[in-house]
Order: sequence, then structure tokens, then C-alpha cells
Amino acid sequence: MTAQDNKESNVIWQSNVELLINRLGKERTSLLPSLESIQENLGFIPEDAVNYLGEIYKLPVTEIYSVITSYKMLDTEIKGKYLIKICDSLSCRINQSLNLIKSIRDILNIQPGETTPDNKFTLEVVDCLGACDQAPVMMVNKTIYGKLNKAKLKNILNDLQSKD
Amino acid sequence: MEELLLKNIRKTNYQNISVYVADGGYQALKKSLFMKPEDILNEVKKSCLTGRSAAFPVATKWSLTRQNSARPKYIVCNADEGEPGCFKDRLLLSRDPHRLLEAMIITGYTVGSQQGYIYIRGEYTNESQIVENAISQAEENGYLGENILGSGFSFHIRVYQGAGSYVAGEETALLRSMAGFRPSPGIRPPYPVKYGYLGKPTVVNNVETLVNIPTIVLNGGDWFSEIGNPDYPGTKLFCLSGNVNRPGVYELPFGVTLGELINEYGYGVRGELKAILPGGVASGLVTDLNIKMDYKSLAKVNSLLGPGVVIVMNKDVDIIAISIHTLEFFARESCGKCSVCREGIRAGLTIMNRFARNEAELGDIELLKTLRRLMYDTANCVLGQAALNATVSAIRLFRNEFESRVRNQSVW
Ligand SMILES: Cc1cc2nc3c(=O)[nH]c(=O)nc-3n(C[C@H](O)[C@H](O)[C@H](O)COP(=O)(O)O)c2cc1C
Ligand code: SF4
Ligand code: FES
Repeated sequence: MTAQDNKESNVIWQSNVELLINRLGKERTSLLPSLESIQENLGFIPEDAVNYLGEIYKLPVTEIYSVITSYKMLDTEIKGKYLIKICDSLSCRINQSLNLIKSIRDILNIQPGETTPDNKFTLEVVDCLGACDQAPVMMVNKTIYGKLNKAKLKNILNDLQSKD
Repeated sequence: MEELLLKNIRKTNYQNISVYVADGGYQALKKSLFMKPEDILNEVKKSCLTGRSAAFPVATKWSLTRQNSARPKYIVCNADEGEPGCFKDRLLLSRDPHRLLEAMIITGYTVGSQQGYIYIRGEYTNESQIVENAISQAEENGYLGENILGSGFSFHIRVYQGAGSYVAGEETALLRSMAGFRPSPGIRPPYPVKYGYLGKPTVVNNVETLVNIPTIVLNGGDWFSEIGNPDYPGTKLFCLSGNVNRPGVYELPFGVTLGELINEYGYGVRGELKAILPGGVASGLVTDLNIKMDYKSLAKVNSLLGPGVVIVMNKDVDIIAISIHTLEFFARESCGKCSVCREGIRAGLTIMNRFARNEAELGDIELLKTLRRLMYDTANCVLGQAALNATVSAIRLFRNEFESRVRNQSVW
């Protein structure tokens, strides 16, 4: 991210949080929606944003971090452009999710939890994505891919790799 | 049997309010607004509808909330669907969203609430969007918002998105999550009907439970109580997955046998059957296809129905690995508040990993059983109480596989 990008995205997440708080109120009930909105805008929740929310909600930042860390979809570190969530819950495990995870590791050369050096892909092994009738399943950003096998997986990753 | 819950999911454009209304949608709401709330409550009581997630009688929950004099009151629809192997609520949310809204408005009218929330799990972003759109359409058409259909009754619904937490699906944790706190289960009682969202009386019901309400209002409680199994009226959605030829969501009466579900609906096991988790990862394994899928029958074989999540495993599945896999899930998802849950799951994992390495001691089998007993008796919520169910049931059914991994007894 360039300094310019950084400034612009800062403005976006802040004004979105302000809009949200105007609509939902300044009470703690709007804290999780605020965090989700920042995560959605930036792909993670930076320290600046936590400090900012601390001021708004009059909460110590540790309290806000304790909420953030309770949820798997909230991150404090930046992720790749494509967030690959591969399901390893029971129905997918029974349908060979471990082989797929291995394939992704080999193709992208990263371990679960890691991001490729070009910041393009992050790999996460997750629990049930609620599409078990299509096991094994993965989700890339907001798209679900079901009935995966090695060939299908390769195609999907190739496609994404050729996009910028 | 006739579908009550899935009847609309194959219809096109059903998310569109005009299609829903043309098909008889919001008629139950119209009818309700001409009824006295206590009469609706009475129909729900006669229907004998129980919660599809936790098996608690719906009318009792509603009536306790209704009687409470505290204001305001809230209706919360639990659409967190975090249970591995569960994918039924997603279907209802995405294919028939207006029926859920209609149900919630009727619920609000019945218990005297003006605000509803639908807590949708964070991963279901498309579903949240569909429900948000349905809410806007319902508001524009006068079915939702101020002075609904000129009745004087007002009700609002808001979507609340989760952010990825299994334990947040537990009702008290869910309400804390909505209030901006860590999703950690509280001590019950007090139950949400008395002390719920922001400390106010709250009805928490699952999606599948609520979707029954419009049908009950239109046809009457007596009609509903005659459907399916006399002990548990209505239908149940079963999520079938794992090593099965045709996985999917099937709507069947309670009491259907596992054999019928797996063979007739799921077109049989892929491979040779080894074991089944009939009620999700918190339930005990079973192997008998004659077992009936209802609360009593499953309790008799030390298992449970849970939300109706049936996971089939064939002989390729290593039962020790599966036990470890379920424990790892609970270890990740435990909120950590009770030491018996937090440390008990870890201890269970340590022991199970000894079996995985063929380094267990014979006494480890008893140790796991004692640990399960302790957790069952003392953990605060079902997560901790049930975390070792799959493991201990595996010992009961496949004891030889455990014994074969005990470290060779030394010769002295
Ligand atoms: C760890 C845990 C997770 C739960 N997750 C869910 C869930 O995802 N969806 C749900 O409807 N109920 C879930 N429940 C049950 C709820 O606490 C609550 O009993 C239920 O929403 C009541 O709905 P019902 O009366 O319609 O069955 C969970 C319970 C526990 C202990
Ligand atoms: S049993 Fe486990 S998940 Fe439930 S409240 Fe206790 S620590 Fe939290
Ligand atoms: S177990 Fe993988 S999507 Fe449900």
C-alpha cells in the first residue's frame, strides 16, 4: 500500500464507521458492526482503528482487542487479496480435505495462516462453511467452491493467479 | 410426506415479495393481526411445536416472555448455524426469507415485542444480503415497520451479522455478542425469557423453528399436532453428509430410522458403513441403522438429535483420528471460561494423541470416561458438557481399536 492509498482507505473506513454509528447509535451494541465494517473496508483492523473506536465507545483498547480476538473473521493483520478458506470440518475431512490442503500448500508454497510474498493469497483452514452437501468445500473471498478435487482446485487457483 | 418447511425452496424468485404474496405469503400475518395474541399463543401451544435446535416447547418460551412486565421485549432469530455438518438454515434464509420475517412479526405481535433481530453467521454474507433485501421490501409494502397493515401494531427487524464463532450460537453468548461483548455463554438461569438482550425479556428461536409459525397460524395448532410423529409433531430437517451417495437436506418426520434416511433419501453409504454421528459433533456415535431419529430413541443409545446433523462415516475413517478431530474443534471454540472445559478438552487431546502414537496406557480408557463424566457434570454449557461424547462413544463401539493402540506391556 502506498501512503496515498493508505490515506484514502483511512478516510473510507472512518466515514463508514461514522455513518454506521449515526444509524445504530454510539452504544456498545454497534461495536461489532463497526469492527465488521472496518474489516470489510481494509481487510483487517489496524491499531489506529482500534484506538479510534476506543475513543468513540469510551473503552480501553484491550477490551476491544478481546472482542476482536473472539471472532475468526476479524483480523489484526493484513491478509492477501484472495483469502482462501478451506473447510476441514468433519464432512469435508471425510471427503479428503487434507489432500486439498496439501495441494494448495504445494501450489502456493505457503502454510495455513500464511500469505504469499506478493500479498495475493492467504490460506486459512476453517470450520464448516455450511455447504457440506458439496464437500469438500472452500471459500475464496465471498465465493463458495464445492465438490472440489485436485484438478478443479488447480484451475481455480490458476485463474486467480492470472488475474491481477 | 408433504413438505412444510422446504415447500418453497425450489420455487423461482421466491425472495421477491410479489412472488411470495401471490403465493399466499403474509396471509398468516393478516390473519394474526385480527386475532388476539393469547389466541395465537394458544394455537402454538396446541401445535406442540418444540424448538428445532434445543427441543424446548415454543409456547412455553413465548408465554414466559409475554407474561414478563419488563419493557421492551425482543425477538431474536438464531441463524448462526455454526454446527459442523449443518446447512439447513442457510437454505431457508436464502430461498424463503419472507416466511421467516412473517414468522418473526407474528412472534412479536404474540409476545408483545416491537423489535426483532436475525443473527446470521458471518460466513453467510450472501444470505444476509438476501434477508436485508427482503426486509426492505416488506417495509415498503407495509408488512413491516410502523403500523403494520393499518393494525396499529409496529415491528422492526434488523440483521445482526456474526463474525465467526461457534460458541456465539449458544443463546446467552449470542445475546452478549449482539451487545458488543465477547461471545461467552452466561450462567442460566436467568434464561433469556427473563433476562435476555440488554437485560430485557427475549425470545430466542432457531430459523427452522420459526418458519413453522405461519403454517400453524393458517391451519391451526390441532392440524399441526396431527402431522408426523405423535410424540413430536411437525417435520424435521435432517442435514445428511459425509460418506453418503446423495448428501442433502431432507424433510422427514421425527422417528424416521437412520436406515431410511441414509438408504432411501441418501441413496446409501459410499463404501462400507462404519459409524454415524446422528446429531453433530456433540452427539455420540452410533452404528445401528434401525435407530429412530427422535430425542428419546437417541438418548437411549447415549446419543442426541441436536440440530439434525447426520454425518456418515465408512470403513476408511480412522475412529481415533475422528475423535481427535472433534476434540480439536472444541478446543478451538471453547470460550475458556470454565477451567473444566478449557483444560478438560486439552487433557482429552493429550490422552487421545497417546492413542494416535500407539503409546497409550490401558488406564487411559478409564481416564477418558472419568474426564467425560466430570465435564458433563460440571461444565457451564453444552459445548463443554458434550465435548467428549464422540470420543467416549467411540470407546464403547470400537474398544478394540483403542486397545490395539495401547503401548506394548513391558515384559518384566
Ligand atoms: C455451543 C452451542 C452452540 C449453539 N449453536 C446454535 C446455532 O448455531 N443455532 C441455533 O439455532 N442454536 C444454537 N444453539 C442452541 C441455542 O442456545 C438455543 O437453545 C436455540 O437457539 C433455541 O432455539 P429453539 O428453541 O428454536 O430450538 C447452540 C447451543 C450451544 C450450547
Ligand atoms: S463449557 Fe466451555 S464453552 Fe461453555 S461456557 Fe464453559 S468454557 Fe465456555
Ligand atoms: S463440513 Fe465442510 S462445509 Fe460443512
